[in-house]
Amino acid sequence: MIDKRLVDDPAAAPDGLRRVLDHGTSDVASDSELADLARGVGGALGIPVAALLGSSVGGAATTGGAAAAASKATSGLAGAKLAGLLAVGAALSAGGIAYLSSRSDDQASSPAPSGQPALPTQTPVSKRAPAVKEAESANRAPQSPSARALPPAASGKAGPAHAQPARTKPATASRPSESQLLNQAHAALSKDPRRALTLTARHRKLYPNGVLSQEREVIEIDAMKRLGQKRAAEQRAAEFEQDFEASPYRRKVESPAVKEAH
Amino acid sequence: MPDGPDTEKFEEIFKNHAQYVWRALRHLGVAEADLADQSQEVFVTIHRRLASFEGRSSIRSWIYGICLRLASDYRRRAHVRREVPVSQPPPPKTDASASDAERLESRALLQRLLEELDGPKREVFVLFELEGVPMKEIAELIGCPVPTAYSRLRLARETMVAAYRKATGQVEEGTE
Repeated sequence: MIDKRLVDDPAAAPDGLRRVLDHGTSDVASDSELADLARGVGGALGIPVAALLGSSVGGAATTGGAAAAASKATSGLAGAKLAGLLAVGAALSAGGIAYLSSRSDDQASSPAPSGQPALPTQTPVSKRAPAVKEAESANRAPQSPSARALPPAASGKAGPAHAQPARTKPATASRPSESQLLNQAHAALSKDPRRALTLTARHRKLYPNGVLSQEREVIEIDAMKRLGQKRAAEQRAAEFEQDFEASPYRRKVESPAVKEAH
Repeated sequence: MPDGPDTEKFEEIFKNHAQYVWRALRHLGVAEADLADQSQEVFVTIHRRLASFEGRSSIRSWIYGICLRLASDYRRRAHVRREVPVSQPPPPKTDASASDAERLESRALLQRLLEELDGPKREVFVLFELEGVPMKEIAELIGCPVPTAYSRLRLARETMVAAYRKATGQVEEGTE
């Protein structure tokens, strides 16, 4: 009777095979693969992506090169193949991002404090930042998503250029997860879009190539629309379509929809 | 239905089991390029059937059961299409470190070895050796007597050892 697995029984198989099996037992999907899966499942079932991922995605590991490579939906494992695409389109009714959690966070709808410490003003690479004040003329040059800038502070009340410890509820003592930040940003959208931009700016700072970059972009475009920055929102939407060709969010942000929405 | 009665539970299931689903499907023969779609199918099925889960087995075993059925259908379809589901190499990672490269190589070798097993043996081998599911539960999941499950495991092991030796050019290594 076999009572031990090969990995636990040196007498039962060559060491090399046991090593291969051992690797197999700990083989895991990457953060970006999980995020793609969550987009598909969330889109098909109308469940918030961030709620599915919880705080399991968005640690330091997601800022690496692999995540950067996967942040383009076209290169992501599931980006072009999400069977839930239509469901996503349906779920994304005007003005709402159905699958970034609507459950919320206690601070999400509170007004952005002046001098919000987490909010950098602007960085040299800023081209696509959602311009809160002068959006109409802003943002022409296309850039890669990872090169995009932090949005300027709401009402021009910028904080210091370096992020401070999160004032939002952190995943750890030092920094919130991607999911937490974007959950909060989404929850803030309807009542305080500037606050949403503050939070997405923080997300961009902490996770420039995070696996939830697409969700960040969608929130920012939505916030810009809500702030009346029509042209800037259209520009960002067009860029989003370019950057994330196979994204399930394209129906949400596509320019005609932007034009109609507000 | 973002906040339906089962949603929170489902979200927990996703958080706790997405990795297992992903890995099990890969080892059960789902091609790298189809893993996301097939994993999504598993979770849509879980969501649909969650209310009927009676708790007679662990939730993980129940999920493995769903994986087994979907992977079996997948392999059958792949066979009909005359496609080889798992022979393609994993996607290249230009930033892969040495240890990443070793892991990818190891993953590819494991996939090649697993392809030597027929469906029933592969299922038993994957669940027991890679997922650590107890044999009694495996027999229930695949609907066969426990001794049959053990017999499949034994044969699967022999096949895997032989395939490993062949793949690595070893005539004699390790012990039996």
